[in-house]
Amino acid sequence: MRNVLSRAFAFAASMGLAITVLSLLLLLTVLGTLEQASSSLFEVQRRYFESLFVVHHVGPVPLPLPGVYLLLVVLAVNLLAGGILRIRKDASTWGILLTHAGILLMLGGSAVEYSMSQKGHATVLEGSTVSEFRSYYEWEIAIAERSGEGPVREHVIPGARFASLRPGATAAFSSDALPFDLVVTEFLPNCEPRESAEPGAIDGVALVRLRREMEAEREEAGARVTIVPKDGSARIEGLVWARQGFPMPATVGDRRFGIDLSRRRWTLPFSIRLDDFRQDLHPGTGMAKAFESDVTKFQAGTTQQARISMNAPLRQSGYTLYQSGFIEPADGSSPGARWWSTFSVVRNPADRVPLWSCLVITAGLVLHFTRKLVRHLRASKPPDASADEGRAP
Amino acid sequence: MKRLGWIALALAALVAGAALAFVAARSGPPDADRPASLPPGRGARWAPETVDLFARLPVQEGGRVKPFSTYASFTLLALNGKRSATAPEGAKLSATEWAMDCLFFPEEAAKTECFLVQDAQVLDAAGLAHEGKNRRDRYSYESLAPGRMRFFEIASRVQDIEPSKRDAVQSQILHLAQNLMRFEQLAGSLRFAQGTPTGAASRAVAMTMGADVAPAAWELVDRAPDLRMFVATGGPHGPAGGDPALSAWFDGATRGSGGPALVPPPDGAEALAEWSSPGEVVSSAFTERPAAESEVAALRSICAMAAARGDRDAFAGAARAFRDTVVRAAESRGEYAKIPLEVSYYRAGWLHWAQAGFVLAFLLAAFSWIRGSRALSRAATWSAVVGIVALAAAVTLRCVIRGRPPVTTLYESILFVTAVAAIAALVAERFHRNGIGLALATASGAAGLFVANRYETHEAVDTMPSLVAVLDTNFWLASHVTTITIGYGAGLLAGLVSHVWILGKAFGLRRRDPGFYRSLTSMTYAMQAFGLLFAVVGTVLGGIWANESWGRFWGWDPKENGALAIVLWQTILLHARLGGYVRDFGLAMMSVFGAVVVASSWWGVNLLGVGLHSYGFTSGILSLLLAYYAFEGLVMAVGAAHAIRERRRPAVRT
Repeated sequence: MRNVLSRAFAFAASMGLAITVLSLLLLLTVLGTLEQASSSLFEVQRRYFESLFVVHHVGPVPLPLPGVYLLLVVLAVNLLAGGILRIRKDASTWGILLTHAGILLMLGGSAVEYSMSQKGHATVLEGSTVSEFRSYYEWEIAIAERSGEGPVREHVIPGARFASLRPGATAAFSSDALPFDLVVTEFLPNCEPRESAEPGAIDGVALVRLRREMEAEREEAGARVTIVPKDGSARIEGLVWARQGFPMPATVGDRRFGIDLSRRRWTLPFSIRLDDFRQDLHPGTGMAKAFESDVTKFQAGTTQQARISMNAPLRQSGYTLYQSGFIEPADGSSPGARWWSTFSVVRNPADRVPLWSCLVITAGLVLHFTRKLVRHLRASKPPDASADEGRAP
Repeated sequence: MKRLGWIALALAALVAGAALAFVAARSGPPDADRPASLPPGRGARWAPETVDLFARLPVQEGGRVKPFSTYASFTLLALNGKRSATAPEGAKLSATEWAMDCLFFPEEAAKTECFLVQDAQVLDAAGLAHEGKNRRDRYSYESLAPGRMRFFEIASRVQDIEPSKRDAVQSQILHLAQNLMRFEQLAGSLRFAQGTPTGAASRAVAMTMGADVAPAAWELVDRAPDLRMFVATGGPHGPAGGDPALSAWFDGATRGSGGPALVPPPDGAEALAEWSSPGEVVSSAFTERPAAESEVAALRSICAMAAARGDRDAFAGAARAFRDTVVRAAESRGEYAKIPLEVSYYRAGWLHWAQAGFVLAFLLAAFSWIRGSRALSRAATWSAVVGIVALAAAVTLRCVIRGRPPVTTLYESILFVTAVAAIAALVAERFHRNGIGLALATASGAAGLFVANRYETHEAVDTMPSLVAVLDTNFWLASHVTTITIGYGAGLLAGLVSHVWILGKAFGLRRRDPGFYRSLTSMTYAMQAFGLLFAVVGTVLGGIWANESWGRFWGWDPKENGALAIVLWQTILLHARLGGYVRDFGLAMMSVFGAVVVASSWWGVNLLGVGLHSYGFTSGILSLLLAYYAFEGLVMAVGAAHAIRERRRPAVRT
């Protein structure tokens, strides 16, 4: 048993494994980059860079490969076993150790970011306030109950539970608080409703699948849902589409609900009011020189003014708001026109890890290569200038 | 005696270098605004001091205030493929002289053959004759004007076609149509000074200024608040109520408003960032706000120059008055300080001196190998040092002129990578003293500057442009971009050293000198280690910048992936060497492939045209890149064939 473990450790720590993993990472990086000429970055990321396995097609020939996530896990194990634990530890390897530690730190930071971060955007009109942001890519179905004058209570189904439905498959959702189960019978990542006389159409309308966009954030998803009342009354079938602008109404018993498909939302622990947005162009051109937004932040009864601009985000309560874009109104040049400003909003607990790891890696490489250079200079004999200088190679 | 020979050689090298630089400079450097010598018969249209004065005039274009000579130089480069033109009578015109011709003698400029047409099929598309011309030749505006509308029609359709799907002729027609418009805008800039209505011809002028006056254009602009009610936009046949003569003049003046922005905003209008062309001043005075005193003064000087265009002395006087007006305004806005420096930067031709230094160094190094002369070798080293110093001076001056770090555009990345490769090669030569570092310093210097020159000519746009908002940060430009380009330089140099290793082995160079090949391997390893350090740090810094700007450290953008590919390949290479998977031959082969990875990251991913690094997109380099890949493939094939031959050779026991 000990022999098996020691052989497994030797394999996990081997230089051969490191070179194989790095070579596969390089191959996937190249393939994923070339793929971006014909597929959206989101799709390429999902298939090549955020997967355990990927099947790349070389013409009609499928080529199965490990995905980048799997490779990064193997690389981390290899680094830990070979580059930290097994490596000889003396003055000659301090730089290498430090470098490997820096890379491990970076991989750890990436893992934290992948599993715990929230990324989206908030678009705010001048004078308006916002306290939530939406994902660029993820979807959700929200079931809201209208109960008179009181607050609306929402039940949210994250997209991860229905966005990968295969044709013919269904996904059912149930809650004790709801008098019905919701069944998603079809999900189309990019579609539009059209009049249809086909058997599957609902009230003469069917969702028609559209070609995937190169920019996935432009896509408008749709789903076919069935409401199955728990009291055995008649099922209700309906369509929800991201751009329809109003929820699908449903009445079960004497309770009224609205079912809505939209980009996933997160609530901020503070509110932001956009006071002013400015776009400076380089004079005489349409090229942006700077964008900046003056905002007021409201949190726990306090207000604070801040400016968000390119390369100068606002950090607050673990969230970071970046100046991302803007929408110019039709009367944009008139003095009272109100512009929209778009902020990228990110919550990433490992936000600063890349900087720390960069410092560690730099220190390690400088230490290692400087040491090697000094050794090389000491070891090399002074050249015999008279023997060789000026000779053709 | 030896010493005398050395001095003679140094002097010869100096003279040869100066001659080379002079020839290079005459072949069309960016400072091509020096007064040209005119052949007898044409008459000296422009006094040298007037050309110099115009060269130093500030003009706003592409979001920045630059010298008129820079504006003229890149405009002519876009039209003519070079920075000079030949007047109909055979005189060689500098870019500034050509632009002055366009402004003040548009009818003569229209006869100058300054439109480079790459393929005569372009003319066929518009039904224009080209008998007696080469397939690739130059044409005047006058000869192209009959096909003007046809060119514009085709260009309008071509614009709707994706750039990658356009054929060569379509792209050239679009380019020619854009150049025709550019010429028309420049040549029509001073249209406002012509055809001014007299009191006899215009009721409006008679009422406001007197029945018997013949006002200059600037006077009409000065009186615009009184005259504007009589102007009907749309020309003499515009809305009822307009004064036909005045409206016709106004219409012509504003049609010429697309020319160079020569007039600064008025004093006290610091909030206004945009300069105006003379036509725009006229348009603004009649439709938006009265012209300011400084604007009227500028127009008055322009009118005086236009009126005195045949009289060199009178023209020079008016030009000085115009210069005084606009320079004072630009200085008060803090927009003039770098203009003289930029003029002198281009005039000094630093890059041509650098190229001459590298070429001369290469020749001297080659002769030193042939003759085994230490003196020649030293002369080659010093010539290479001259090249590096000139190149470093050019890069430094560009930093000072724009107030930015050394690398902000693809063009500047070529200069910087060239400098890094040349310096690193000379440092390697200092340690190894085998002549290879010197040879590679000179070869990489000359080749890099050749590529920079070709790229600049191909793009034909200002190489010190304004930057998009996200790049407007000197900290990240200085840290990430500079670091990553040092990594590019080291990776390419490692590939170059490995070429010597592979080709030397294959063709039996220094066959009995294993120490020579050991030193090459040592150089390659050092370059790869140096490159890895900068590639890793540069790539991670890029991620940190992206995190600061967009909120994500890594987005798998093609340019990011390109940088990652370099890091991965260099890491694989160094680990393979450390683990004993490859030896000297493998290291050399992998380093050649590493240079391919660097080229793909630097240029190749730009061809995909996707991703957030949109400022790095370029076109027209595919064939050059494919040729480079083919060459590297050939080198690796030669290396592989040699390795197979060596393996098959029976071992000799002694």
